[in-house]
Amino acid sequence: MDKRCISVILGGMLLRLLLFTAFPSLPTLLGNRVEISTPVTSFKRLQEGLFLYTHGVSPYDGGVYHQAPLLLAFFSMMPSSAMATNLIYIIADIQSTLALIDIARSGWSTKSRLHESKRKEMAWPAWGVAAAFLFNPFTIAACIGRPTVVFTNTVILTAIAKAIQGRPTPATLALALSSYLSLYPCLLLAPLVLLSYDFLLHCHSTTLLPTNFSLSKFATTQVTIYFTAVACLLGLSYLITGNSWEFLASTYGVHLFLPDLTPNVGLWWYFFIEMFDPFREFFLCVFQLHLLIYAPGLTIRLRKQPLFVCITMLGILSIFKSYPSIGDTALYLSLLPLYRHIIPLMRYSFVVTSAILYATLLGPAFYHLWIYAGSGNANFFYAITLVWSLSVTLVVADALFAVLREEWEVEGNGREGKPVVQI
Amino acid sequence: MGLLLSKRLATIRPLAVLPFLSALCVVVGITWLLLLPLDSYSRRTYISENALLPGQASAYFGGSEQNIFSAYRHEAAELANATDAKRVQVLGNIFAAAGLKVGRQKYSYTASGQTYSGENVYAILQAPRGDATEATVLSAPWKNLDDIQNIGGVALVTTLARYLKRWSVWSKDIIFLITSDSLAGPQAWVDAYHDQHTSNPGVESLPLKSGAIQGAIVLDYPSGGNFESIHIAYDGVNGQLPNLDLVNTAGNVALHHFGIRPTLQEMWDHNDSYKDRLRTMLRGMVNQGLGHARGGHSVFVPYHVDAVTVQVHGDGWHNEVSLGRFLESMFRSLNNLLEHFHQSFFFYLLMAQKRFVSIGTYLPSAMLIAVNFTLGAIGLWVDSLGSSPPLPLTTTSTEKSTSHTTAAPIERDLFLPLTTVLVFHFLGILPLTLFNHLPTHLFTRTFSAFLFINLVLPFLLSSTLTSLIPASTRERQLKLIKCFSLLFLGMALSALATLNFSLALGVGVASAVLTFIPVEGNGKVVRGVMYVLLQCLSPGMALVGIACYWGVGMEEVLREASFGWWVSGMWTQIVVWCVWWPAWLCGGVLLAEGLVGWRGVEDVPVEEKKKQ
Amino acid sequence: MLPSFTRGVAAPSGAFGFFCTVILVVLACLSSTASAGGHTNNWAVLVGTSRFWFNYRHLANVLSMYRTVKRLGIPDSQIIMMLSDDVACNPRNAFPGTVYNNADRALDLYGDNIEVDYRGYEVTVENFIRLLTDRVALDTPRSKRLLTDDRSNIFIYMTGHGGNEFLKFQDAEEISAFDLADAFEQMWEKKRYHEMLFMIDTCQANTMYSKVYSPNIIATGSSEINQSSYSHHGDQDVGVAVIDRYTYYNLEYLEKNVQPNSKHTLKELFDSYDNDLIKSSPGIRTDLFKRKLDEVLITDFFGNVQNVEVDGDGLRGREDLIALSRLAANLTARYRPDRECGRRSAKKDVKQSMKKEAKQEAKQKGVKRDEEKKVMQSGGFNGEAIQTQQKKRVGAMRVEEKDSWGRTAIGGGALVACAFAWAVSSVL
Repeated sequence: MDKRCISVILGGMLLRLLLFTAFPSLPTLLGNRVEISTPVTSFKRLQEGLFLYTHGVSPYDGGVYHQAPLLLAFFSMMPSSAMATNLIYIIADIQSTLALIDIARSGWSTKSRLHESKRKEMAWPAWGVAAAFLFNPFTIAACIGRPTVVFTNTVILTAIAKAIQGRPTPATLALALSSYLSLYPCLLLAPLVLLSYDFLLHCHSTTLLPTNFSLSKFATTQVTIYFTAVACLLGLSYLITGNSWEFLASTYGVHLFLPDLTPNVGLWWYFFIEMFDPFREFFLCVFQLHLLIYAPGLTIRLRKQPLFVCITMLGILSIFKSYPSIGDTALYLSLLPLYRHIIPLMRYSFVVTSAILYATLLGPAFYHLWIYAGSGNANFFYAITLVWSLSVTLVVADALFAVLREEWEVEGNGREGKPVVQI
Repeated sequence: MGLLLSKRLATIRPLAVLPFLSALCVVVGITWLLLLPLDSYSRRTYISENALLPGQASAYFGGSEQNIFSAYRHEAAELANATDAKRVQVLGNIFAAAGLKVGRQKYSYTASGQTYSGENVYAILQAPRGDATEATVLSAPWKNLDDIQNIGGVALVTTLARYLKRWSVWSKDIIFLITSDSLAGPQAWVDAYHDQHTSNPGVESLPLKSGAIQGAIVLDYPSGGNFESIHIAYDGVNGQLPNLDLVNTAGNVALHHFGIRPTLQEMWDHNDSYKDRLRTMLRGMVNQGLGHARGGHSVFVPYHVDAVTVQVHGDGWHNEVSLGRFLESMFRSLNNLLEHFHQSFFFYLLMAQKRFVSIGTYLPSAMLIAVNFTLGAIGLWVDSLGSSPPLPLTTTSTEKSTSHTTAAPIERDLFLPLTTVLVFHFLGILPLTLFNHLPTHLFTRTFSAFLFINLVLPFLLSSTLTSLIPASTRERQLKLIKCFSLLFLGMALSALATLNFSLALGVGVASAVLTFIPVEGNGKVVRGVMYVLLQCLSPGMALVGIACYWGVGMEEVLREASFGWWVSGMWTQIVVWCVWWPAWLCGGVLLAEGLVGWRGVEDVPVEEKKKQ
Repeated sequence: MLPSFTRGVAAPSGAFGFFCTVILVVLACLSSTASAGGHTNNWAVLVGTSRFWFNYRHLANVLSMYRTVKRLGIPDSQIIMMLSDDVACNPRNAFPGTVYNNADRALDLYGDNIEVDYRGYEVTVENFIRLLTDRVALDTPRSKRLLTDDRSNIFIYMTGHGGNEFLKFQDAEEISAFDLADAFEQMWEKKRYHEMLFMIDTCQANTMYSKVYSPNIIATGSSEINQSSYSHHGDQDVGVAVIDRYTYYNLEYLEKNVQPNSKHTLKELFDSYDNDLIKSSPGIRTDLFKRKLDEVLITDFFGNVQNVEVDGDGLRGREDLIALSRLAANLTARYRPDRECGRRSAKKDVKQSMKKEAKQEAKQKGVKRDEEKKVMQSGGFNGEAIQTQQKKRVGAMRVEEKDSWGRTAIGGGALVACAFAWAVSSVL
């Protein structure tokens, strides 16, 4: 790791330390914002669950705490001072940065086993990607506000980094942990397996690999490891919460059945507030299936670039999952600089950036008008969340277009510069 | 499709239209505002909430209450030089004698080296048949905004406390509050009432509380004698306004049921002409834009409590009986409320007691002015990339190398302008912190120094900037700097227009010149003139303008601002120093760039740079 | 004129004969007047659909109508009043426990003797329609049911805030003109009214009865479409408007001119409406009504003039009479030993008929009992469920640190296991 990376990491760390110490009320202020904290990631709820856990009451009584039991075990081990907690979050961010640096240094985004971009030179160096992550205002807000999605992000990035380094088992274990922490990363299993497989085939000579090394065998092994890991984690949780399975309904049940309709930057809460009861289950199924359908399509179509599939799935999750927050969007936007070489091919970058900035400014303003000033209503805030979701969707779609276009260019000769019309 | 569009854009250059469009937006925005006082664009005021029933109950205040008022007025006059503790004790005894529960609260605020402290005394009339979940407030400051003792106000509040206690028609508790002064006292009380005072150790908690406050009326009646009209002040902190129903009820009841002429925005003579309406509206906008506390009512408004200050004015034949009856009728109306005011508008501009416009009619003017910046930004964006089109548009495979060489500069292009604009905006924290933390006696000197710095800072910064920009891409980089600055300004003003319309409009109009700053070309005369114009429209000069408008010195203005920041929670300063001033600075830097004509760094060949 | 059949009856001997003759004569006299009005009982349904202090006048409207119909004879058992009843004891009322409809405060409508059947939040659209159609829960008390039959004249009065073909109930829901028309049609099909007078005092009131399509209904409303109805005057001490114009002028006519035995007709009442005074255009709908308005007495709806009706024609009545007289004779013969021959048979007849009645009653009761059983069973099931739940319910828990080391051990162990698995996989 070169000096620039280290200085970027140090800079990021110092900035976070400065914000934590110079503005002691900032973590609570940001932690109370609905864009940063959701019912399944809120730090205040974690504190509540931790109190109940350490005092012998089931943390899932009372319907406040909806996060994984392992987090309780972890935080009950840690010293309970504010500084210690802040340091934990900073360390999580640093680990995410290290994973990102590994991913960027491997150059897999521009040159993978099955695809090589013609614009390799344009890719950013590792320190650029790290800086884009550490100094992204959304990431900083997510770190200061201390939602637990920071840990999920760290684990996802670690998983991808391990896959790119040719260590499939740790990658799968990390993915298992991330899906244990928050349900939806399970959709990344297929692209991650393909990513590991590609790397193994590409970078190891055939003598290092076992005979009959095929995709189906590899995939079966990895999937088995994944489910075993998840089962073990669930079993450990069963032991932690006093030998009961009630945590399942309070954690994964909340993601799936949406009992808590606190506003957030997503699309689900408003819809389900208005929903008549007889149709609720139907629409819950539709929304959850909607998330599911992207995974196979993207994996098959973009078989040659499984890293991009992972990134796009993360983007789609950050828009359409049941309790999104800007921490999820921060993860996606931080992974996008890995594909900086295709950004010039994107068509709507200016419009989308402006829209995201507008939504970031107007969202809190309208929330204030709705909740505190009492002169607006929920529709104002919901309109801004629609604008936000639309702009992130545009980013995802545009990046996808750019990558597909690039693939098309690579496949043929003399295709650069030709105007393309998307039908 | 996007590539096709950008190809067409690069060839057509519609950018020639955009400056005119921006100018048109600004002109239409300002004209829109001037059209509002006309009958066809404004509406008559009306009471939306059916429950209020203004003036339908008779008011019986008078008769022997006048004697009691005279007695209390004497008592209040005798307390003129008493200490806070003595005053609070005497007033507390008066309330206790009326059979009410009494509470006291000490408070102390520090802002810019000055201390604002005092003691509030209040009493709660518990509704005999009510359920104590809601309350209304009748308040009078001991010293009003002009630092004159509010003898009549305090006397009337104590008389009304006795009088209203005898009625059993109250569904909400009534709280009678006598604060030490007009602004810090009510702020301390209302913060403590809602338990938001914990960050300030100088403010005591309240010993007694009642239910959620539904409405508050603050009384300013220094003379205690005859008056001709009442002035209704309704501006809250940060430009938030109380519900229009409350203001209309007060005006309606005063005029139609008691014959007291209501006035707004200190327009003592208002003959409902276009000019008077426009003046009322503009004064209202200035007060809203500044966002400072204008009376005891302003501090209630951020807590979603609708409040107005009633101030007597002039010499006429109305006396304390009219005022007492007016207040009794107002409280009967407030008593009829079933929930918070919610039917009428929270965003409005009043032009006369009988005419107003609502947000749907006036918001487009601020939005147009904000849009003009965004249009400028879009034009600059397309223009800056139009000269070197986004790749790979016209290159073939043989020209791959050249396409790659033109690719690299675009990467650097965005980084420098973005960082520049961000740095400028973070620079805004300096004047913000400075003017909030300096002691008062240093204000005038520091401000003069600041104005001088504003004159030369653009030149200094532009020299630093030019040393970082390679000469070949100088024009494009400057365009991008202007683009990002305008984009952020437009965005911030659009968001601000929903919160504080007048501030957004004011800042927008004052910075409208920024869209027209030339970036290419060499006309030095034009730039010189624009630089002078820009200096006259700077935030510093705006503060000077406010000082002239109020007729006070700079120290007073800055002291008010500091008080607003520390005590009232005003955030106008953030907008001025962190949004407007950086944008202004950016414009100044661009002009200075052109005026002095720095040549910039010599271009290093790209291949050498790559080797590094 | 005595009908013909009475002339042909030969007067039988003795007390029985005299008894029969008297009854026949009386019945004959009465039956000549039986078919004139066609109704035998009067009911009133008075609905005040708004609540809150500023709708004082709507409650005063309803209470005034209540007082009027009571004065004209309808008893409380035949008046259903639906009121939010939140005005008399409202803290804002300067005269607690009273409701006045006039600024002179001469008459307290709330008084000592009023009976509100549906009060407060029970005044809902559902309850109103259930009341009209009698589709009520099994345990509804009689005072809350409209026990009318096909000889009942019903006066329905509604007041509140309304609009174009709707009426607001308590600021939370609305009833539409179509709902009302369908409810009336159900009443007609179930033979629950003979004639109906529907009076409504709201804004755009006439639209509310425009969709009615059942026969024998007269409807009148206070204002046309796009017209508001206004209040008459307010009381400066109570601080609200106390009566609406349309109701005020109706009451003025009724109080001045109508007594329980008055012969004034509805036409005269409707003719007394003066649009200039009412300040809106009241409407009258008579196309569904068979009789002419100048033949309809006001007391047909507002009062309670009793008509007795003999079932069918005189012959059937005569046979019943004969059976009755036979029964009377047999019962008296019980104490006269020389009339034994008819005794047993009469007794048997009586017994048989009584048994039949008892069976029928039992059948009805049985049906009811089955239904009750079902209700009870479901209630019982819930009861059992509740009981089991109660058994499971644990008391309040103490929140305290206990067994913390065990818990820490398990937590720590879990974390160590995870870390170990990660390390192992990284190495391999």
